[in-house]
Amino acid sequence: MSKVLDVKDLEVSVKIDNERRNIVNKVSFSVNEGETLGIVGESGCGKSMTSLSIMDLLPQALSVTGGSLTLNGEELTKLSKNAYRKKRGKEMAMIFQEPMTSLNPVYTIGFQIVELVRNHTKKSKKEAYDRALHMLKLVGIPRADQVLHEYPHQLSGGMRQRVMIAMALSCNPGLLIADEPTTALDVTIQAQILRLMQSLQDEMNMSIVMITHDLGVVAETCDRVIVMYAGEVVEEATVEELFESPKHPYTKGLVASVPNMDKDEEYLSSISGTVPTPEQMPTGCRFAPRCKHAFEACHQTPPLFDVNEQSKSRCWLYHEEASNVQEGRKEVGAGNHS
Amino acid sequence: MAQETILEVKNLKKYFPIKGGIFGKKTLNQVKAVDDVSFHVKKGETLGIVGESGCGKSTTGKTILQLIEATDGEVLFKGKDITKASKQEMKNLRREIQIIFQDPFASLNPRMKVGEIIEEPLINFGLCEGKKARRDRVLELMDQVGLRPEQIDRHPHEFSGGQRQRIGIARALACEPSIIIADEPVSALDVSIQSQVLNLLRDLQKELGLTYIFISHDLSVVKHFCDRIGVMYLGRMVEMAGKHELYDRPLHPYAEALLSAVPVMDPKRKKKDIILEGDVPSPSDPPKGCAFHPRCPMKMDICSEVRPQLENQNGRFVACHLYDQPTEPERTG
Ligand SMILES: Nc1ncnc2c1ncn2[C@@H]1O[C@H](COP(=O)(O)OP(=O)(O)OP(=O)(O)O)[C@@H](O)[C@H]1O
Ligand SMILES: Nc1ncnc2c1ncn2[C@@H]1O[C@H](COP(=O)(O)OP(=O)(O)OP(=O)(O)O)[C@@H](O)[C@H]1O
Ligand code: SF4
Ligand SMILES: [Mg+2]
Ligand SMILES: [Mg+2]
Repeated sequence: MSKVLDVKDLEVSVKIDNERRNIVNKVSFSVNEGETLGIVGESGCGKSMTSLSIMDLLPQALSVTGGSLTLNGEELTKLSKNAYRKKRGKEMAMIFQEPMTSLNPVYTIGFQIVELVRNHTKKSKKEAYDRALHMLKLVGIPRADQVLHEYPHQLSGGMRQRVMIAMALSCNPGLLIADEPTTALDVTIQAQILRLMQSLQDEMNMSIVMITHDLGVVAETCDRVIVMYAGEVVEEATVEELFESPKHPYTKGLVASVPNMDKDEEYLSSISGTVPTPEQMPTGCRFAPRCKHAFEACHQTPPLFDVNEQSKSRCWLYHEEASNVQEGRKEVGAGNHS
Repeated sequence: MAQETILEVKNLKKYFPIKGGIFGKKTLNQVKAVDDVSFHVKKGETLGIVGESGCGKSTTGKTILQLIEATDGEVLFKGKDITKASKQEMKNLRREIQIIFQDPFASLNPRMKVGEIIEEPLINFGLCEGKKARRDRVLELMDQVGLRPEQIDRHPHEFSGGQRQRIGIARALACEPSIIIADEPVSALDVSIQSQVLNLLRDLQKELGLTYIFISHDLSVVKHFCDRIGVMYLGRMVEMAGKHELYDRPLHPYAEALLSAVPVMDPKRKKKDIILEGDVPSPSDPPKGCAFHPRCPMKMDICSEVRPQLENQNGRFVACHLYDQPTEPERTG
């Protein structure tokens, strides 16, 4: 299988009061042709900024300060703005987390899709319009012909999100980055959208980066998953391994936080504490201040250990000499309500 | 749990005009976003509202608060119809009934700092006198929702989607409301923060006797968090039941399809969701009879003719002809 996207040691930083702070810290991962890679992790851990840097759409204060990004073998970080623009939409497309920030409020939905399609294909205005209508229907927008003439504020949250999905898919991109694509959608529409992405993937071998905090969606759509915490990848695993036996204490806490449909609990399990801000980032393991199992070694930065064929974990408990803490390793996780 | 009804919605309707014509001034048609919805909420209770995207959940929430004007119907808060409230009464009601918006980005003023956003209601409603006291209260609220004190002088755009949602929650809590209409309050949060926020909302409910209307499409969260649940479809309430009743045995075919489509956290389990065939109908031209009939796997002849009413079925409510009394189809048909 060939690598479509390869991210190596990506660093993104922000300038606040003339000081640079790392938001994404040496993040590496790759996506194969036809594969779906999931990215999950704490809110604010850098998932969106990682994907925006791949698209070269970072907000102004932020910039890529290290690492490389390769798309189909071509280095992206050296591309001119113009060359980048040509890639967006066709070679790679993105579904944004917040539809309102990416839909232009002063243009109609139809105008926005038609423009996009015409920029990337040789389609005539009429053909582009038909394509727009077709895409809106595909994503399950009712009264699509009317919606084409409406403005973003006239649509419900979920409709806006579907409009964006329609836009992203309208030029058959080779790589699709979907940032929380279905959060505003009810589950029946979600299922429909996920099936649509799946069928496009099967048909055209599209690769997908699926950023979501819905672990059910991860389980149903992804082949492999990376888990991020405070700007770093802390676990990488096949989807089966991730759910069967999560390795990193953070991942375990995450999986345990999901409400269980088969149980009645007054309170949900949660990981106590919050993510450290860049100013107070601990020097060793970034999860240590919240980890029940933190020990001596955790003052040093842990590497990403190969735990087995299916998974890697950035946690000292997986160092071979950590056998004295092996006991702890078994019980790691299941955070407590605080 | 207290039994007193705090909020009652009666035959609420909200129709949006669809404008057209050369100057966009002519009203061509209407989107029946909310069409004759009635329900009540008891003090200290959590009522969940679920349903298809675009079925009118947010519009229901906004019309209750009079953020958009109802086309018809009544909203009784503590027995008083607030659609007829005076400006002054409304100002006070805006404190008592808070809304946490679905789209946190659109609802936060980008020019204000986080501290100012949370402080604003404290000033507006005179809830906390003195600069120092207010700052302490802001910090306390920030802490409650999991924001760091250093973040007090940041602007909304410097936060991630989930962090922004927490700002909105802190602002709502600042008003010391008695009802919170929470429109997808946790859908932008990752599950570990989601569980922190839900635990927090539950603690506040116990401490302060808060009442929630909780709009969400995450059915596992709704099951965990709500006492009763209303299922909406195309502007109407199609089922209303206690959470156990609903999850153990959904009566309405749409509720059943919804529950079957919940993604499961097990990559090996291939679930059998009921795939809904047919087009999603348009709220400007809802199907005749039962609005769900074009997609319903159980549809009968009567379904495309007569609109089913929300009726009592042994203490729970459902709008579907499958549950008609045996004689009824004859009477109507
Ligand atoms: N314009 C900005 N200026 C300063 N900091 C920023 C800016 N935009 C984002 N950040 C910071 O970068 C970090 C990463 O943000 P990002 O949006 O990538 O998070 P995320 O993982 O997508 O979170 P979520 O799940 O909540 O969407 C956050 O801690 C945020 O505070
Ligand atoms: N300002 C408006 N002008 C015209 N139509 C509107 C307006 N606001 C909402 N609508 C329409 O009303 C219907 C209901 O929208 P609403 O936002 O209440 O849905 P929702 O149930 O909250 O959906 P979602 O789950 O996607 O957020 C939609 O068809 C929408 O297009
Ligand atoms: S009334 Fe008929 S069409 Fe509507 S849900 Fe019931 S069985 Fe289906
Ligand atoms: Mg994000
Ligand atoms: Mg909504």
